[in-house]
Amino acid sequence: MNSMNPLKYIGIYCGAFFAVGWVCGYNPIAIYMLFPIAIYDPGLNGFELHRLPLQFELSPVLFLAGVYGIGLLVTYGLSAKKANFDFVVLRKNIFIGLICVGSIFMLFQLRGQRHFLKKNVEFDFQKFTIREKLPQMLHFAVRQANSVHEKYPGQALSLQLDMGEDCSQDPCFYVKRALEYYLYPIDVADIRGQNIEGDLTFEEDVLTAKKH
Amino acid sequence: MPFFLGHEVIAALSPQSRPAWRYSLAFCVGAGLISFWVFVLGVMRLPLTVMVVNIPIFGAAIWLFILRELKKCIKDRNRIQWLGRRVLDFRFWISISVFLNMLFIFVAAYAFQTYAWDSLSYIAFQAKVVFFERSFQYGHGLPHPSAPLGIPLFQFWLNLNLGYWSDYFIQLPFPMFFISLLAVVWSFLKEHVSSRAAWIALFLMLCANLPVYHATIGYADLPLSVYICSAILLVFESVKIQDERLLLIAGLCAALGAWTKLEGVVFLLIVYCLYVFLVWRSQESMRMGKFLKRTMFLGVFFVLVFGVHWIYKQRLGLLIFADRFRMLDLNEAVVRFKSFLLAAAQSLFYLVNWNVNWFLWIAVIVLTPFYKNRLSGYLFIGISLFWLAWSGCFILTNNFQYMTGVLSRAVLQFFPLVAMMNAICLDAFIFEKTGRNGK
Repeated sequence: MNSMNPLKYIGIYCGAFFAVGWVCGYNPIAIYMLFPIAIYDPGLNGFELHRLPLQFELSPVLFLAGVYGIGLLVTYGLSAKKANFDFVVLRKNIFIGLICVGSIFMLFQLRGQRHFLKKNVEFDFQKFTIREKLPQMLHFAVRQANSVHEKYPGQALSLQLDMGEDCSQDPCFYVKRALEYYLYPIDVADIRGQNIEGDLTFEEDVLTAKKH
Repeated sequence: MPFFLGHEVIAALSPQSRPAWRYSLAFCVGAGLISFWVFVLGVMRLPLTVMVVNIPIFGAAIWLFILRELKKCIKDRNRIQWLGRRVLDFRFWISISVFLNMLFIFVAAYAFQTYAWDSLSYIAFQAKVVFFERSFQYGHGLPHPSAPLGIPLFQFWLNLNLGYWSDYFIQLPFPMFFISLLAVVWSFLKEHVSSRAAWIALFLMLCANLPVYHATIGYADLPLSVYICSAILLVFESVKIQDERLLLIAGLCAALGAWTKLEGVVFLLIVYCLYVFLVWRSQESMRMGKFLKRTMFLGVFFVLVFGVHWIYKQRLGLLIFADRFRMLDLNEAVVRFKSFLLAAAQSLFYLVNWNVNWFLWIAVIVLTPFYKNRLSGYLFIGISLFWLAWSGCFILTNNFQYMTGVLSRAVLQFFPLVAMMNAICLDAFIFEKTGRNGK
């Protein structure tokens, strides 16, 4: 039966990871830096997967499939002591391989999280504060809403929001929704159903903002 | 306060329930009950002030606390065992990943003011409107006016106590829901399977990107997942240990699921189906009266919570579904079924969302006798019922047009069951002879 040390599995799969990287033309440090960026791009309905840059433009999934294939072959070869086929050993190695690949993926996920925070959050360790770096589109909405609130503090006005164009598609639609939310209790979405007291227009072009 | 209230309510409903259930579900149940209480006050047109809202909640929790014997509070035998610090122990590494993921979740949740699409457009927006207007009558102007108010009213309550509207503070519940989910999964498997299965499930939950990310944004899918998965697990435990009072908590969780998202209504049917299946499999001779009593236990909170909500919204004319549930032409159902299969396959085997969980699940079904383990068989039926419900929803109704966008979030709602089933089968059929930590 299979009695391989867990450390051997870890070593084999890590070796397979760097071997596949090397065959595809990536050095170990490059692959370590590139992988988290390729796999960690969060979206509200799911993550986006990017291809690894450099010469092959390889999909990370294909890359990991290669790692899994090599790892499975090596571990099965080492753990099946007899020459004939042993299904139980193969089955065990199939599952252990999946967990090893999952663990490698998780390591890059943790690095991806760190990368995400570095990109989007500003840490000030001296003042012990953290602040978000808003993406351009959201920054526009928050900035405009704050300036309107400064001008009419605490007033529950009902205004007409003029976005200056057909705003049924993103990014304009997202900015409109964000403005409706951030401006409240200044009502620009006709929530209260009151008479309109004025128009709200912006000097800046909404579409200079990019989608978050 | 949500934690205290939730704990006391669970302890009152089912005094014999394990402390692990009480502690892991306390926040979710408390949060759901508080938001429902705010709703009841709003329906009765009472002023939504700190005192009016909080004093009865606090009073009820204190009252339940006094009623319960104080000794039981202190005598908690299931204390968390401190981990061994052996570097080769897989639990040590999983603990580190739990810590790092939690660090990420808390920083990412509280560093950003709310920005996610659904949160801005209706979840947090509803909370903000109620906060400034102290009334529910302005739902007409908001998108999805028929959506349940569980999460918005809890966000309202948080800011009510804060005294001003904070776009950061309303993110508070989501990491807490995720911690509750991890605690539910871990404690349930530790009790019913083994310590090793519990740790493997924890690893599988955390290695998936999407649930971790959803713990940082203001979407309602993760809270719904906590409620529904807890209800399903409570039903199993209730039948296994023959404690019918646990069905009350299961019913409460299912009701709070329906109070969180509309899908929760259909999921209650899944909980019922699973309950009937368990009763049928247990071959316990049960009289009709007893069966009906238990069925009532499971449904009483749902009727109360969702019934009040539904009737109130209907009276205000807020049950508007914007054509989403219109039935589509049955002649083209086969074509839509093919599209659904393709979208489902793409979504499941999309490594960046779920890591290897669905690959493991397929391997478990093909390569292990998962049906021999009662719990994994039960979870398999649960997962299949969720797939059936979602496939019906997408193939037969106008929701088809949103399928590719929202399928991953639909899967998120029952994903914990998949991680648990994988962990149980790995523990029972793959590592059965080499493990040191198995119970």
